[in-house]
Amino acid sequence: MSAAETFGREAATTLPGTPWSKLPELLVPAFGETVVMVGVVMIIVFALGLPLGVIAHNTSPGGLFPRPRLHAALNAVISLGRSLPFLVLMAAIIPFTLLITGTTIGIPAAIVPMVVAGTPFFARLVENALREVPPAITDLARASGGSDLQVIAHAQIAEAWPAIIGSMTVNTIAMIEYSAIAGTIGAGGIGYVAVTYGYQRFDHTVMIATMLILIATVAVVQAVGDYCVRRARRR
Amino acid sequence: MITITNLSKNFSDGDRHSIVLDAINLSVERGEILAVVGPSGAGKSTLARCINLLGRPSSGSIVVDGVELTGLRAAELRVARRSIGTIFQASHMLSRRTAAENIALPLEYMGVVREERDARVLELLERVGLAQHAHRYPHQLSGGQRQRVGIARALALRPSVLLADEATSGLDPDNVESVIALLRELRQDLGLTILMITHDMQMVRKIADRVARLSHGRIIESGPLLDLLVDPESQLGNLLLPSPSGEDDSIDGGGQVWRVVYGSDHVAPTWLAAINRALGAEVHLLTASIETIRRHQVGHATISLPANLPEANIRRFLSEQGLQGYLVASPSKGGREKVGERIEV
Repeated sequence: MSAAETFGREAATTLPGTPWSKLPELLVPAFGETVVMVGVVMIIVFALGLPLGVIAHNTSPGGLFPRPRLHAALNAVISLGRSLPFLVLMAAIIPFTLLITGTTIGIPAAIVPMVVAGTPFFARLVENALREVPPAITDLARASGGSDLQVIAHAQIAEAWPAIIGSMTVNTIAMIEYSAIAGTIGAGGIGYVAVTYGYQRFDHTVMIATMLILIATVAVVQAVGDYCVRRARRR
Repeated sequence: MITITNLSKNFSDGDRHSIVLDAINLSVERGEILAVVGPSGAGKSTLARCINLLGRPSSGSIVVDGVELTGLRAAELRVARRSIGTIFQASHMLSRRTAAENIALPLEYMGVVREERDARVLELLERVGLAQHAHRYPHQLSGGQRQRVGIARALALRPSVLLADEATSGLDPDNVESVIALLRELRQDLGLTILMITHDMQMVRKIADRVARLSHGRIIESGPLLDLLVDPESQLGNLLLPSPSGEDDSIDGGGQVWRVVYGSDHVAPTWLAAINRALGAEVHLLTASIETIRRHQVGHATISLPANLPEANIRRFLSEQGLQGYLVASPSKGGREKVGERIEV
């Protein structure tokens, strides 16, 4: 049971609206849950999405190992994962979520659909970033005697690294948004608090506070991401 | 040395088949510089990619220092490719690596240990005159400096053949000069075989020993540079010399127009004035370009002479002067008739 749920039951019987002084008690643990949820999701998304994006790029006609059929198949999977609205996807894959986590509510149950939605998104962003690397750079690494893996690591990923960091930023912000949507299935985190207090109980104080936290979080993620991109560009 | 025999490359896209390279035969001796020139679309870049085996040829063979490179498996090919160093266009460097790190790339791939690698990179940086810029990133280097990095990287594994694919395109004239000087020096010091693919005729005149002209996937003319330059019949020779600016039609009317090519080293600088004395005719100089290439004087001129002057007299005079001439246009009834053929690069 998440911190917000515990607090929620108690608050409902005693208070019509949450006083400002009680907010930290409610929001700090919820924020922690959001951070954990998005953090875990992004680690998995990066680990799965980066190779998927690299393979999608290199199986394309101009890639290192063109495989038109495999490319078309990957393309279809990535597009499929990106075409469903998150709320629909979350509901649609409940049996899969149950199979993996043994539950359909709470943080673990939210992580599964977030990964399923986030990975194709990130793979597509990586593929686009790699496509922007001039083909001559790949040729240069190959002519220097690099194996496919070396060419991918040193020429493709290394050259696209600033763009990949930018993609991480975009993806992380999308995952913060998804975590709020996942709040509707009791995932916990800031989104859950916003839905249960702000929306279902018309608690304007909590609503405004969660909005401010989300705005600030997104701004900080964007700023950190931009800083990392500038550092990575080496100029 | 490198020997290319019957090299062909076809692309097929569904039902459409296109032959990009058609039975190319080329060979470059050790220490020799061969330039392959041709218009864009002739197959130059496909040829470059076949030679360093970034693209597999459809048929034919490429032999470098006795080793046949076509038909090798991917892993063997990576090893074999080390005998060919490729210089790409100037801008191509890994943007997040310093000059030294860029040069180290082939050494890293070969698994050279760090100390040895650093020593070799330093040696290469000195070789190309960039020792003080070792830790600069590409955006902090000029086009010419980036190209020097590219040359150093191509040399890293001590190849016997250097392939320069449009190595000077996009460089300003000073940088082109310095790259040419460096390539000459390398040929001199390391005995490198250099095969360059270019559309820069000025570079070819300055550096090539032999020239081959590629057109529609075939080598249509080739030969030693100086032979081509002094041969007035050679289309390639004409292409190599700076073409006169202006339209042929602007040429002074009424007279017969001759194209004159320097055919020997002993052309008197005063030959133009001598025409007047020898033939008693006024000469109009229409275009001219003369330069010294590797201590040989080469050049060409277009002159207009009175229509009534006998052709045989003109020929005799020109050959006495060490010149070769041919009639480009002569006045004929109702207008001027073009005799010569104008070739577009």
